[in-house]
Formats: sequence, C-alpha cells, structure tokens
Amino acid sequence: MTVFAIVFGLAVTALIAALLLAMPAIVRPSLPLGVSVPQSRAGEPVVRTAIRRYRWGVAAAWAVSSIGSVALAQALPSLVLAVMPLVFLVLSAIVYVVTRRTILAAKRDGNWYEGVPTRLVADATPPKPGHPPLGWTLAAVLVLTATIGVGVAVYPSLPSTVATHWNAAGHVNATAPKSIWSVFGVQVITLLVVLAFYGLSWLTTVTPMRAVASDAPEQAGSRADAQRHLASTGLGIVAFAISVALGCTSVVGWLAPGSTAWMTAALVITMVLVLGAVAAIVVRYARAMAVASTRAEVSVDARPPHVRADAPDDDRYWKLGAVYINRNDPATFVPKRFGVGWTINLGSPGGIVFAVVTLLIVAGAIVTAIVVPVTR
Amino acid sequence: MQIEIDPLSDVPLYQQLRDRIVEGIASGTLVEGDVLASVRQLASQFGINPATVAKGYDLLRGEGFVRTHRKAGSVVARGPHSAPWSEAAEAGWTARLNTLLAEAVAQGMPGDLVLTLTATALTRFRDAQHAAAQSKKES
Repeated sequence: MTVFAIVFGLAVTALIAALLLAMPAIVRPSLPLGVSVPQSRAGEPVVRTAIRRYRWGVAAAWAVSSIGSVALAQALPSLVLAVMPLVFLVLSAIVYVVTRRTILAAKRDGNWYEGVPTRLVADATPPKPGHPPLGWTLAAVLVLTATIGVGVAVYPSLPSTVATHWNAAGHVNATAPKSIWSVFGVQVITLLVVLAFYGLSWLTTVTPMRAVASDAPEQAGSRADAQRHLASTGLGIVAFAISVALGCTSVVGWLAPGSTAWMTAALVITMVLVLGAVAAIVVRYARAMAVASTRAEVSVDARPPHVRADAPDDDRYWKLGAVYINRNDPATFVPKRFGVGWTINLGSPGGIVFAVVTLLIVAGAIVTAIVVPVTR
Repeated sequence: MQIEIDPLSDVPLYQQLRDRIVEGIASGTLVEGDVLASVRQLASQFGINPATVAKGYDLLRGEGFVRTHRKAGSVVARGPHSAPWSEAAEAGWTARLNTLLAEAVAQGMPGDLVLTLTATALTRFRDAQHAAAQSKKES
C-alpha cells in the first residue's frame, strides 16, 4: 500500500513537473513566464535567465517534494498521495511568481514598450460556430451504457449490502444497503461528468477567440481553429477516460468487491487513463501550435519588410501572472497567460458566476469525500 | 476580415473601428450582405467595452454602411456598386474633403502630389477589389 501510494504520487508529480518545465516552450515567446513583452525583447538575456531560473526552481521543487514524501511515507502514508502533488504545486507557484519578477522589473526600468506600436485585433466576420466533435463523447456514453448493462444483469445477484467506497489501497471502507442509488450512483455521476465535459467543449466552440497583433492575420484563423478543435477533442478524450475508469471500478465493485488486487488495478487504470489523456492533449497542442507559428513566420518573411505591431501590455489585468481581472473586458473566458486553454475573467459577471459555481462543486466534492465515509 | 485598432491612438476606438470597416468595404474584403460580428462578440475579441463597439456600429448604421438584419444582426449594406448615396451624405463628405485638402495646401504640399496620392489610393482600392473578387471566385 505504502509503496503503491509513493510510486503513484511520484508519477503524478513527475507528470505535472514535466508539463511545467515544458510550458515556457509552449506559450508564445512574447509572454515569457506570463509577462507581456514586445517581440523585439523576447530574446533579452534577462528573459532567458528568468526562464532558466524558473526551470531550475521547478526541478528543485519536484526534488524537495519527492524526497520529502519518501521520508514522510512511513509516518503518514495516507497523506503522502494527496499532499505531495499539492506541496509541489505550491512551491512551483512561488518559483513562478519570484522568477517572473526580474522580467517585470527589467521591462519597467527599461521602458520596453516605449515607442512600440501596439494593436488590438479581432475578426469582424467570424465563421459561424460549428458543433463540437461528438466521437469521444459518444464513445464515453457507449462505455457508460455497457457498464449499466453489466450492472442491470448482476443486480439481482448482488448481496443486500454493497460496497460503496474504497481506500487508496483498494480496501472497502464504506458499505450501504442495496438500492438503485448505492449500486448505480457512480453511473449517475459519470453521466453528469460526461454531460458537463460536452457542455465545456460546446463552450470552446462559441467562445470568441482572441487573436494577437504579432501573428500574421492569415495564420490567426487557422491557429484559432486548431486550438478550438484540440480543446473540444481533448475534453471528449478526458470524458471518455473518466467513463472507462469509473466503469472499471464499478464493474470490479459488483463482480469482485472483496478483491484488493482487482480494485487496485482499476484505480491504476483510472489514473493512468486520465493522466495519459491529459499528456496526449498537451503534446498534440504543443505540436499544432509549433506548426502554426512556423507557418506564420514563413508567411511574414515572404512579405516585403514589414514588422507587425505588438499586442498591448496587459500585465496590470493579470494578478500574479495567473488571475485575470478586467472589468472593461466583456469576455467570460480568455486565453490562459501561462498555460494551455482558457481561464475566466474574474472582472466579468459570467466569470464570477462560473468561479463561484466551480468552487461550490469542488467544496461539495471535498466535503462529500471527507464526511460521507465518516458518517457511515 | 481581421481588423486592428490602436489602443494608444488619439483617434477614439469607435472611430477606428468605423474607419477599418469602411476601408474593408472599399477594398472589397467586405461585400454587401456580409454578416458582421455581433457587438458582444467583437468586444470580447478586442477585450474592450461593448459600448465602444456599439458606438462604432451606430456610426456605420447612421451612414448607411451597415443595416440591421432581423436574424443575422449587423449586415454590410453598401458596396462599390450600390445606388448613389444621399445628397446630405455626399455634402458632408465634400465638406470633410475640403478640410483635408485645406490641410495639405496650408502645409505647403504641392497640388500634383495631392492628386498623385489620391489617384494611387483609388487604384489601390480598385486592385484590392479585383483581388478580393478573384479569391472569392476561387474558393
């Protein structure tokens, strides 16, 4: 159990670390560590030094949290799995905030934006939004239907008390009297999750994309399309992975509730599927963006000497380079500053509602996870 | 059609928006019947106040460049082949042209140069219209 938890925590943390280390290469060069700088300053020594320090800092944070968790594993085995990635994330966030400060200071002291032409850009005739791809969502629904089919078939033969909760080692730690809810509750949750992910992928198709002045206009459109497509497909893949994973645990719970080995296997499949899906999406995203930007460079070079304007400096709206608050911006979702995908505008009514609802769901999930097993 | 506005310019953003749309029509990138982004959509893309975009659209509507379609929203209403504009609108334009020419004369710009620049601009619009029509035919 302890070994499993440690290996697992190490793997999760290593994956997050890999993503954080790759991030400076994934985001556009005019946003080093989430600081907006003119294109002409993207290669400044202070920028390169800051990125190098950030990478070393993240690596050190990973080493500290990994060594710490191995050292503490004997004393607090159950805590390690949940706390280690959290400690790593907090340390990395500190590294990010500290290292980007040097770029901010250099920009301010050197007046990097003085005399630099800046533009806001938009597509005045955007194409009508299409439907998000349905393939992965349908596959997720299919897996869910198959799981329910198995459940219906074995329902009569289930004992009058069924297992409803397992700990990280695969031991049953909560049971409930047999009922539709205690047997199929996970399937109801799966359905809600699949629907929620489909809703999110629909959102990615209707959310206006924000082009950047330094991109060639003919590339901005294809870049936006690629981003949209990958985002909605990615959400479908994650929904599918969750459906398969929860289906596995349910089927094991019905057919072999006492089997620790099977439950552990189902847990491992769950995490590997979800993390693998996330990693696959990020890799595809990075590749698509790299292709889009090389194409853009070629098309800019092919023109007569013409320097494109920069995007305006909008650092004042990004608190700590991560949280966007702009009351004048009507957009609910804006492209992430240092990452993949979108984040919410906490200055817009829609963004505030979205944040509150998300917080309530997360708080509800945590309370349920802690309180429910205790009361039973 | 991608449009760019300068957030630091002395020209108000709504005026810049109006100017870019008019230039789009003149160069054939926007043709009669093209559906423009909604006010909210455009404001969300720029990240600016929707009231600013609405003001620009109101200008365009007042000048007849854009009309409101019940279903589609804002639609381009004029093009190089539209019916002649109203007398009042033409008079307004002539007055502005007069001011513009006065600036050139007052600054000592030779008359030939003014005419050459004007002819160049008109040729550029015509060529752009040609290219836009060609690329539309191909696609």
